[in-house]
Amino acid sequence: MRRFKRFWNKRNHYFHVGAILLAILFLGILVSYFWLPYDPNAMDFSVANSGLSLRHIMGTDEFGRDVFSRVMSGMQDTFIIAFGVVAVGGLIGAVVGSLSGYLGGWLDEVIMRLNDTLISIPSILLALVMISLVGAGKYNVIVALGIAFIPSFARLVRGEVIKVKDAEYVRSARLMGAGKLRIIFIHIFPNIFPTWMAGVAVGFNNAVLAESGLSFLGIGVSPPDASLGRMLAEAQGVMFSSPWCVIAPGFFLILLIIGFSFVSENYSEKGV
Amino acid sequence: MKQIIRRLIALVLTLLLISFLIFVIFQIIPGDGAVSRLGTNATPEQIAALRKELHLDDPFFKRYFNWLFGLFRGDFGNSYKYDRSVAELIGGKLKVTFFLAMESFLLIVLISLPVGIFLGRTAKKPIGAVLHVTTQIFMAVPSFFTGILIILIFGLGLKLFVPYYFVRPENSFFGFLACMIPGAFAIAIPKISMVSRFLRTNVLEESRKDYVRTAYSKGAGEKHVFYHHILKNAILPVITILGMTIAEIMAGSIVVEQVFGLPGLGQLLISSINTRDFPVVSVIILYMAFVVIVMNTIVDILYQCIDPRITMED
Repeated sequence: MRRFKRFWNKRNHYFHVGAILLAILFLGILVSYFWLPYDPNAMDFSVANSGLSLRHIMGTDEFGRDVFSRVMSGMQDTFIIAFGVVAVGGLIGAVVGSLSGYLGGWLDEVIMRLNDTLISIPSILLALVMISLVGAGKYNVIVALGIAFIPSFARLVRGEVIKVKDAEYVRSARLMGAGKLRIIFIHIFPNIFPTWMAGVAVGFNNAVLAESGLSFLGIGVSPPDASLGRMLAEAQGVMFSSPWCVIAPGFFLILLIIGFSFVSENYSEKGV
Repeated sequence: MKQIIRRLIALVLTLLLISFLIFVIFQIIPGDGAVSRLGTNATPEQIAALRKELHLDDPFFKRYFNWLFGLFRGDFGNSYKYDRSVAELIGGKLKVTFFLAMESFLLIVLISLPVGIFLGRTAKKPIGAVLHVTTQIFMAVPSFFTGILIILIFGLGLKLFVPYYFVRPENSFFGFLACMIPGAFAIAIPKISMVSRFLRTNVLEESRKDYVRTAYSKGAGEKHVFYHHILKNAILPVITILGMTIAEIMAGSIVVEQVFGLPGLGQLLISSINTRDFPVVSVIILYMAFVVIVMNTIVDILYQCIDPRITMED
């Protein structure tokens, strides 16, 4: 508890606001796994297109589905995908970056050339390339975006590894006869973990943005999964008659992104 | 000069690498183009004939170079889906995306610089703090939701424009430009926030430096120091960020065209992905990647010409 307090006090107010916002949203997502006011896919045409009321706090869509329940289950999908993307991109990126940075030589040269090329292309474009090959769907989106996120993580980790490559503790580990892999993953990686975490916070932000963009374009998650981006795309057709159908998912999407971006802002202001 | 030449060689190699990757991804991995064109009912003879016609039996590198030189000649191949050449399909769409991107870029430059300067000058006042948080929130709104909000508020609510109204450039060029302005704003708003925040950070960093204190101690006024000393140094790195926004404008236009119903490259790209029309997809992706990479190189070179202290070594 005291460690948590120290951690909390060292962060700025952006971090505090973002962390509280995310905590509330996570709690909501967690609760929504066990309880939702309505089945998110249950249609009830008797209440179709009804506005905000006590029974449906965010109204219903054109099929009479409860928008609030759909938003909550959409957040589940959005969050799971963002988590998967960051896990795939962050872990593979860390391995590629640390190997490339520590080993150096022609391997590093080749990997970094490729990396620089891929990094200059928007990640949504890279994801589109992969989606067009493997098709849409929740798990395909995770793989496609995850791969698209590898280059930025690889570059981040590589820079850090090069910084500490010749530090005393690494040299002494080498003298003790530790193998290369042991040095990278047991000695170096724990020390660059904070920087990697900062990358993860930014990565979550970008993953939510990219996923919602893909799903909005209709090539992200496929029905019955309903991420927030997909709900927005579906609701665009009825946005003049029932604007709450687009406002509600959009609002929660923004909250999620603001949460992650405020948390990562703490790091970026310190120049990490 | 030597550096510029090295940079140009790197550019050519990068472009070759990208084209090679795209070729492998879209021409080799999806499998037989002849089968996907003729459908599953085709006889083996028909498939063999079409394979020959499309040169699918040639060795790998011969196919790659044929494809690459075809691109240089303006021969982008044929769409699987429509019986038309890719060049024909893309031709009309290119204009929409190009002018949409230009309009967004202009908006970013014209709005973010004054806003950034204002943020930098008012950093210690309450209004500056409020605006700082506001820009952070604007940055968090995805461009397609900005677009939806623009349609709802300015189109439906205030009736400033007619949603989903598109004017073909052949009919009225100004009408064409005007009907894309809401879309350009949707792309530009998050980037305006980003660039102006970047400029603000630069201004704050520069104003802490020694030369600023020297200028003040020599008796220069606050305004003079800001516009002649601080701003000059703070604005230079913005050029790099502006260059980076070009990639994001490209990515943004894919989504925003969908929101506003603009018939541009993005819309064609998405519909081609849905119909698995790989020749069209590959040319559009290649084109977008080329624009982004070429523009990045131009920005790097420009930046070095303006500020010779910067070297282009990574």
